[in-house]
Amino acid sequence: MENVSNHTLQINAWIGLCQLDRTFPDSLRNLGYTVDIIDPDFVHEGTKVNPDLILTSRAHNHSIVIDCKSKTLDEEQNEKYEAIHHSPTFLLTRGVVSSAESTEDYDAEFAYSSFADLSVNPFLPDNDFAVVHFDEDANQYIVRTIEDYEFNLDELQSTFPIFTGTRRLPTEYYPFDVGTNEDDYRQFTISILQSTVHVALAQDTFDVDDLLEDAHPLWVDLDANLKNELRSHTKTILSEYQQQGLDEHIQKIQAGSTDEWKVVSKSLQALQRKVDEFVDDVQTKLEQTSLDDFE
Amino acid sequence: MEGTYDELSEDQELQPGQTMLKTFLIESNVSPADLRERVDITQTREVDFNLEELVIRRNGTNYTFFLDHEDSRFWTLYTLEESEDAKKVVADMVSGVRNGLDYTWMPVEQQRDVMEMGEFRDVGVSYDADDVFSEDYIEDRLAFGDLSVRSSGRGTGTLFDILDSHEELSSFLSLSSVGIKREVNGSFVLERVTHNGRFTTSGGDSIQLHLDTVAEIKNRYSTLLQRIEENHRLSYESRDHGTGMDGTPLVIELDNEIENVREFIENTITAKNPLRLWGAKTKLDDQYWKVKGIDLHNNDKYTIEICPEWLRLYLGNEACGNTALRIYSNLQRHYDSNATMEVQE
Repeated sequence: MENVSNHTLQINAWIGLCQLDRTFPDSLRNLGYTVDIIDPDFVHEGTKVNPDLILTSRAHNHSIVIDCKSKTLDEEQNEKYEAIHHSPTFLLTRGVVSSAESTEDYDAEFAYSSFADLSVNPFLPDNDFAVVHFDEDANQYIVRTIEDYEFNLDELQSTFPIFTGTRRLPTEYYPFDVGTNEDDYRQFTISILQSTVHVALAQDTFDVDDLLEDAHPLWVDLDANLKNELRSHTKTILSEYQQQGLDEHIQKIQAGSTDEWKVVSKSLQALQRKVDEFVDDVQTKLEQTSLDDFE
Repeated sequence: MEGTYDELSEDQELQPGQTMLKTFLIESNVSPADLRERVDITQTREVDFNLEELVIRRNGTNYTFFLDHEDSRFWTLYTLEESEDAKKVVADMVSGVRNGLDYTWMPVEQQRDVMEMGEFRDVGVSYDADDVFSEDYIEDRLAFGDLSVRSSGRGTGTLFDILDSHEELSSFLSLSSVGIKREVNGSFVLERVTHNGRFTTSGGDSIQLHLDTVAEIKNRYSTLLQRIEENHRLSYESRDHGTGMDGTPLVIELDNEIENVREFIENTITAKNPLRLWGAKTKLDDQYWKVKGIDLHNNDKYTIEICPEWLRLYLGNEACGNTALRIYSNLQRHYDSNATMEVQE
């Protein structure tokens, strides 16, 4: 699919498999899996670990810890995940997982997920955790575990391969990923634009953090560096907003030492007519933003 | 009201000067005091607890309404004013950006349920694609720009069944109103109910039966709205080690498949009536697009993923479920009356 990174697509697909939605299979939901935690961040054996999501089935008292990859693997990361794979109960005792029962039969497994075939990756360790491949054919994605890398939970393993029946994956559970190698600038720009209208209609003045809190579902839990990067991107968007004459809708004002904006018009039909061109231009500018701009 | 109910009986002509009782069911997210910001209320009188007589001034003329706000989420407005005047006063109330009031947008399924509540008497079919789509789009992509049928009398049911069973027509049979004669315990009432929650009572001998009919339809709508808000809003919760997520989108499946998704979006997401959706679109593939925007009625965020066969609608954590019902029922009314939306129980 266009205009959404493979990383974002994978996260959405995993979440989608836990939802009841006629347009997408609910294979994991049928096993009781729900979205336990997105973008978990915890320390294990003194090392910071940050996979993409954890799905938990209360029915099977089992969690899947998933890291969505492109093509690259990292040996140090492999070791971290292998350690989690072999000592899963700490996820419960530390409160990382909240949807499982704290009993002896609790288990969690780690899985790599990718659109690429990681089986040929030289850094894929020789171990027993699952590796899942989003395999594309002309009409659908087929989600399969690659040979020798399977889930230990039989019921889970037997759900694979999952034939999605569509190439039109859901994209909104986790709407954009900015600050990684695969940036969803267009999705981010549109989300900020949406929040500009949303916040502007709700309050007289607002600042960049108001927009980001409204636009980013995980804003509160992001680390400081990423927050600064997103603030910088958002300022670029608002600056372009002013330059393109969209200030007929909102205007920049100086409030103390920080920039704020206020609503000057609630008519949004003019803005509707200009929005496509605006998003194209902003996307180009964001892609050209260098790291120095927000450090 | 006395004049209406005492003097009207089944199939009786109204006397000159008499007007029928109109009842409007309004979905509300605000308090009655906030109503003063929407309309010019010149006089208020408390009739009973939660029932107020309001004199509303519009274009220099006073109109009398009775507002029952016992149910804070669904207000009932009664009036004996002329139909067109009453509709305009109510339109003023529910129009405007972020005003917290909306019509009750009954999907076709609920209108068909109304048919079952009594003896089916009349029907209005009004497919108004030209209210939404451009002339070019209609000419290139749609079988009808507008299609209106109004029928009453014994043959109405048969006519409707014939039209409904015709494959090429069924997608365009958008119900605008349904008329029934309802009889309970020897009392009767003649009601016409529109797609947006307006009841016109043209006869009967029991005000209580009218009130019961409104209450029953309101309860069905309210239950649907509640199920949408409980099951179909995405929520995110900050936790010690990350973010939790709950909720699932709504899917609207189309019978009348979209020929060109980009053009369809450009015609529907215009920030104009009746949908009043503002948004920005992204191409995901040639026939799969995503729109993120704002419902201008109440300033709720929405996201739609759309392809020829379906729309996937995501609502935010605090979004009003009425946004989904407005989108769904207006798609049925202006594009595809056979569209279906499954709501989890």
